[in-house]
Amino acid sequence: MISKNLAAASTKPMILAILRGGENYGYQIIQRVKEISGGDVEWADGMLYPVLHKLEKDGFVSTRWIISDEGRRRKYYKITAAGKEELNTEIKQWMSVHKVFEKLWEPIPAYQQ
Amino acid sequence: MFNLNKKINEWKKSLHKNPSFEEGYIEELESHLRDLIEEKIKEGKSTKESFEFAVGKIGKVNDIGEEYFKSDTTNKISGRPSWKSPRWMPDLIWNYFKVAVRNIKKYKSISLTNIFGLSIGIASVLLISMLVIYEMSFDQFHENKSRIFRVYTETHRPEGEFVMACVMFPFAPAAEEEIPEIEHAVRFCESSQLVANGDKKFYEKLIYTDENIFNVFSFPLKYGDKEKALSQKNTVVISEKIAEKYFGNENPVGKTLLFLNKDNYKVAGVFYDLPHNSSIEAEILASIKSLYTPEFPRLENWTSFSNDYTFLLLKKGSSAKAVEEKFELLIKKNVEPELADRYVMKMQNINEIHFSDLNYEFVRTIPPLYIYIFMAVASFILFIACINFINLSTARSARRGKEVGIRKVAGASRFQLVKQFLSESFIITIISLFVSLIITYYLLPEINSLLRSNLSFSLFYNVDFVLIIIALVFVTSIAAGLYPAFVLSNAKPVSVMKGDNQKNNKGYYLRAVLIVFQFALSVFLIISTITIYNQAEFLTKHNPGFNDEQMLVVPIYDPQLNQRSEALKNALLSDNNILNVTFSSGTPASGSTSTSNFVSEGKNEDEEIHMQILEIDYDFIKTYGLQVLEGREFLKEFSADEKESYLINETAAKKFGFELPIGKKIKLGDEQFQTIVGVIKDFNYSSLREEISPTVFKLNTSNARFLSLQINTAETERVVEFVKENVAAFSPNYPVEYYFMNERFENYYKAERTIGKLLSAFSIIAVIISCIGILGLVSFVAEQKSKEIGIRKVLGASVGSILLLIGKQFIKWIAVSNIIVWPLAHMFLNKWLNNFAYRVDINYLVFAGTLAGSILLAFITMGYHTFKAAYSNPVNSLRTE
Repeated sequence: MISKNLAAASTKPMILAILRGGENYGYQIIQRVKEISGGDVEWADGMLYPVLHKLEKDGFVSTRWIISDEGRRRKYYKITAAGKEELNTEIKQWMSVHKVFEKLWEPIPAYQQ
Repeated sequence: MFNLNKKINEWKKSLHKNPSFEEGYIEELESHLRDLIEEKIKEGKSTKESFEFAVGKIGKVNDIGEEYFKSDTTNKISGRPSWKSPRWMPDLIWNYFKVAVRNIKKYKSISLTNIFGLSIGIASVLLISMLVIYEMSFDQFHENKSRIFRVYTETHRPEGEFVMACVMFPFAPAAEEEIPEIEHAVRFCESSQLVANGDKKFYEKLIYTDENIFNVFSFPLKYGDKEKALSQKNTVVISEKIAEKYFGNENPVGKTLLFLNKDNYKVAGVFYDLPHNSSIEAEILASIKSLYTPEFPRLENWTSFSNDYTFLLLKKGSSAKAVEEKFELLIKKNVEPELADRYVMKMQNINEIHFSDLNYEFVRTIPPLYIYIFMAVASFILFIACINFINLSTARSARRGKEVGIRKVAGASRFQLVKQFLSESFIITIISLFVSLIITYYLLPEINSLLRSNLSFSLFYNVDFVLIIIALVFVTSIAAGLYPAFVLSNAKPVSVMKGDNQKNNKGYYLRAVLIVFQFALSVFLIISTITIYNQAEFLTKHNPGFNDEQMLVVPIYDPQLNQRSEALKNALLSDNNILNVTFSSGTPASGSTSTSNFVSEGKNEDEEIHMQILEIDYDFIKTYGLQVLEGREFLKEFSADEKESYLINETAAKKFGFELPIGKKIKLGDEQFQTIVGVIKDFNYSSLREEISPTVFKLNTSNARFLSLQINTAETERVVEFVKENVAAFSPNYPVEYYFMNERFENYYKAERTIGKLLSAFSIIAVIISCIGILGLVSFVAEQKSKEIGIRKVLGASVGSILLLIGKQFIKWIAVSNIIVWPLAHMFLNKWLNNFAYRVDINYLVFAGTLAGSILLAFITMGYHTFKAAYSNPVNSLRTE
């Protein structure tokens, strides 16, 4: 499990990255994160929606309501051009952090599992 | 059966309550919830389990709401959702104040009732606090107070334990010498003397004391050297007051005062008048060395007790307990072995002496019980006043419902409304505080003269007192205001607007309980006051067993007078209004007692019994009208009476265990056995608080200290003048003092009278405040029921039945409160009355009378409003709708 702060910071790039792979709705996004992380990254499900709402307000995603096969209305989220750009910025930031850690932690075998 | 859709709808409702959620957000969350549930059902969970899991997984509604709000809001500064009120709104405080003042003005009678009650309550608490602080301040001015201790004596005799303030005379110097922890030991030896400087001649209380007194106590000297002042024999140090009385404004150091018309004492110093809060009261301090004469009987006597008191100053850091333990050795060393177990010497710090309760006390004390009683009474009154506030405020909650509704609609939170109502009670309390300060200001002189205290507003410089006042204001406004604030702020806007709230009867039971409680306190006070008054009356009116109405007593100071006593008697008896005259070593209420140990014939020395001895002449029994039960009184024809006979009282006969006392022989110490020739009926020699002591009467015409005269009260003034002239003629060098026996006896019960007076004042106040509370409530009930009364009258109800309709609940409550309080009052009074050897029985008529009285009073109180309601024209109350 990752810490609350780290989860909060990583939510936005993760969502954008998932949406880069195609249009999707909230429940599926959460399932994907769970699947990829093997359960290590888990959000309080309700907390996802305010973030999605914020991304929509900032213009990084566009939304539409689709009626599913079971007749349930679902809100689908699709990444916009601005969203992709934002994702790239995020990736750059995360990668630079990643590089620092790589260099810092490499000689210490105890941290390499 | 678990209904999933219903549950989901309920969950959605909970989202709707949070203003952050818009319809779309909720729909999206619902879809998510349903996906979660379906997944769980597929996994084989029950619908219920799946629902509960999904709701938990989505998270707390308020947290999600907050996140939505953050992503929606444009207000980046406070981050506070718009529907949440800010923590700090200074503008509102002014508004609270304005509304409070408006409300106080609008409900004038209720506000006045509250202010009246609370001011009196606060004033009572203020006065009592002042009194307590004043009493606690006693003896605090001594720099060495933590190290000054008073020694007292516990005596264990076969007939019982007796604790007294007196200490044997040689104890102090011996203790100072042998116990290293003691820095100084000071004796006080009280006596009364005739003091003269030329023509100025008065009897004064005099204290013989050791020269180191000024090193122990903080009694600063105005003139003289404190190290040397009392080091010489026959020197005195006097107070400023005495200096002025005898020497005017000049410095008296070096001058002399004449004591007892024969001894010259040199004034070696003048001390500043002792502060009012000193337990030790002294005007003239004389060197104790002046007493060291061969005739002085107590100098080396370790088993004789007189008015001798001992104070110690311990060295820094020494333990009082250790010193107390060393006393035992000291006693063992100096008292004969068979008597050593009798005396246990104890110590108390000077802080405690003002509140101690020892026999033969020398310092000024106050029984702590009285302080507790007053503290309790003051808090009762404040409590009653707070109850009025609570009752009147909750009763009118319906009237203020609209205001609360509007405020809530405009966004006020419950907490803010509570704050608003609390600020109202705060303002009322502050107003009451000012009124109470005025009341206190005018009452202080009365209290001071009644309690012989010295309370003043200078206490406002005392931090404790100011803190008490601040605490009092806060506690009162919260005690009175908190519950009403919650009740009033509870109004539901919707129902208020619809008008449902008008019939709000919330708090009915609480009001009932509070009224019962309030009346219970008042009834308790009334019953106690009446009983205490009865007891004080009983003590004053109680027949002491002798004739005290017509007795004039003249203390004799002139030792020469005894030789001419017969001549003086004859001179006095020449006046027709003087019926009998007697000389004796003591009289009832004189405070002059002498005790010794007696053994009856055939008993061992160690079976001696402690008795009071009274030395009398042939006329004592006749003059005091005492009754001889058996045998005879002393008679001149039995010439051997002086050497061979005793009279004893009934109690003494019982103590000796004599069934037929006449002819039995007893002896005093090492004297010869003497025969009992008569038994006198018991009479009260001192206060009725004390049992009658066993007394032996001895015939002795040469040791008189009191002259008692039975007079005809028809011409009292002239007779007193005649007596004064004659006594003065026989002992020209001594001013003549006199007093009336019954006045002395009444003095004994001054404390009870004072308590009675104060308590009755307090209970009248308590009753008035309670009645005003009832008055307020009745007016409210009458107003609330005006329509009901109108309809009843239209339908033909009589005025009587309407009176009963309003009145019956109050009467019921008052009756209940009476009955509840009876056992408590009975218990308390019984305990108090048990302090007295002679006491009244608890009078149940007082209980019944209080019940009848309180119901009557309640009826009168309710009268105006109920009659107004009952006689009002129904048209007026019914046409308004």
